[in-house]
Amino acid sequence: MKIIHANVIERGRGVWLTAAMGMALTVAQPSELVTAQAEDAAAVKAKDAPPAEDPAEVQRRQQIKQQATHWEHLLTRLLYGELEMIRSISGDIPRDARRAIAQAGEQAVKEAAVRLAELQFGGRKGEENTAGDPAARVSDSLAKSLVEHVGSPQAAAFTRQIAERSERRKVATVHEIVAVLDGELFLTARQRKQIERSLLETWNDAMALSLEGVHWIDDRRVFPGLPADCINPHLSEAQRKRFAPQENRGGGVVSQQQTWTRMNVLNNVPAPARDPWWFE
Amino acid sequence: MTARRPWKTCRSVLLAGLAVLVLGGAWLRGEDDTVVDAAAKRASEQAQQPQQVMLEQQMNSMFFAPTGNEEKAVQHCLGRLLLEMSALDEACGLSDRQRLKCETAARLDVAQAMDDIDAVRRRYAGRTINLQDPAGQQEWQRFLQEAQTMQAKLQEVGGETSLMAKVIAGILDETQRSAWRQESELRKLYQWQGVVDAGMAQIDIALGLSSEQHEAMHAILMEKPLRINPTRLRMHGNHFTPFVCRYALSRLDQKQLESLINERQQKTLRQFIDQGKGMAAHLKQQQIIFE
Repeated sequence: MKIIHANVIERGRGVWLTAAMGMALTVAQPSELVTAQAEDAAAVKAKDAPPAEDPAEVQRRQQIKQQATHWEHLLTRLLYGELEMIRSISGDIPRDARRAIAQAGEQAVKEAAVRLAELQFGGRKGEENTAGDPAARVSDSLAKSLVEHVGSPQAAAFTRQIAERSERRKVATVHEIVAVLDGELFLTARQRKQIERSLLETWNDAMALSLEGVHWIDDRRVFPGLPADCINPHLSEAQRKRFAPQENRGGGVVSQQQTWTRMNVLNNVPAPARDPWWFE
Repeated sequence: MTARRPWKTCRSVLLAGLAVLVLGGAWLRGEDDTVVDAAAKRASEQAQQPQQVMLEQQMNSMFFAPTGNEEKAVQHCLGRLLLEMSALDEACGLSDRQRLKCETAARLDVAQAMDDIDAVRRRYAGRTINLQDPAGQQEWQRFLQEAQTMQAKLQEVGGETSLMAKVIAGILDETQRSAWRQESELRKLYQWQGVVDAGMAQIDIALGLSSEQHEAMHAILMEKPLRINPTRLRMHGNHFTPFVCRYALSRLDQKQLESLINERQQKTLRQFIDQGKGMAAHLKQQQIIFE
């Protein structure tokens, strides 16, 4: 519905009927002149006013903001665990230092949460569409803050614990993958060992995708991210018929899936209480 | 183009205003209003109309998931039992005669499962239910549960109470039996470790465990494995696995467990354990855990 001001009508370049009861009805006699003048006026207005925002972009930013809150809740569970680890490693830390460390962690959580939400809603313009490893972002930030406020030995101890956790997670994931394969293929103990070794030797994070959900192609279970070369040489012919690897299809898609897989580990983790020692 | 005088424009405005008043609502009502009215009426009529579901048509896709093809489901099921037989052969070195007995038992187990499924299919043959009706909704729920049971039945053919299990127990000599028992125990432990690994991943993160703490907690969980049905567990992907681990934690000596971690960690761990206890009834009802 268009409402055209009286001065336009008075100029006699078109006929605009403004009906009663707040209704404005147009009897169209379009003229290029009217259009041109209206466009000129709009251009002058646009120069003075701030640029109009794309409603879709405004909506996207709102969605990002909302979703970031969800990720922040999840990542906070990780942060509190890591703060606990630092406290166990470092013992007593001066009040100002621990507050600074906790704040650095909270800031890292906020940033990682926004990156994750942006990834969900189209990413950042002109940047690679990935949120990287949100957990690593938080740990790195805590380690830097530890160096600054407590000392390098404590930071090194913390980093070592995080690296060991990462390593045991890798070994555990491989074990879980082989356990699922075992359920499907009835592996012998020897085969399980061989496949485990093979997966560990060629490990990449995309392998963890095979534990996400249950996928089938026809009547064969599919294991996304598992390289056939690691599995097939250790299977019998009958087992090979029932194993369908699905190797990485594209870097971007896999990279995003990996991010969600990494975050899935935080699902159903009860929200721990905030340790006041860090924030007092 | 000639310019109009303002009074002429004003007259046009008045005429238009008058027209609105005279023609009233009818003029303001557009075609789309009719469409909206009709859509609302249709929706209301649809809500009253029966929503028929022919259960017979749904049966194959739901009983024989994922393909919905009976023949493929039978082959898949038999294939799994034959793989078990191959594993047995590798561990024990079966004779031709033993192999034949095993294979026959496997085929009979599959045939028995299909007979059971057929009995259920006959019950639903020609049945149509109305989802708008509470009785129809109840029947639909029963049907869904039955479909899940049938899926599990196919996946579990060859389990502990199967003919194949009995035949294996009967035909093996002492050496073979011991080798197979060892192989089976290793498999059970391996499956249990998969559950512990999946469950500990979250506890590790939330409690901020050190490597030593993790190792100690993992070890006491491995010492007391729960009796689980890995097939049922994996039917739901990895969804229930962490809860099985949390339930297992609740069954450990709590003093021993708490001695491994500090008070703050104990507080967080209790939340995990409470979740595990809360899920226990469901896990038992789903026959994922047996104790």
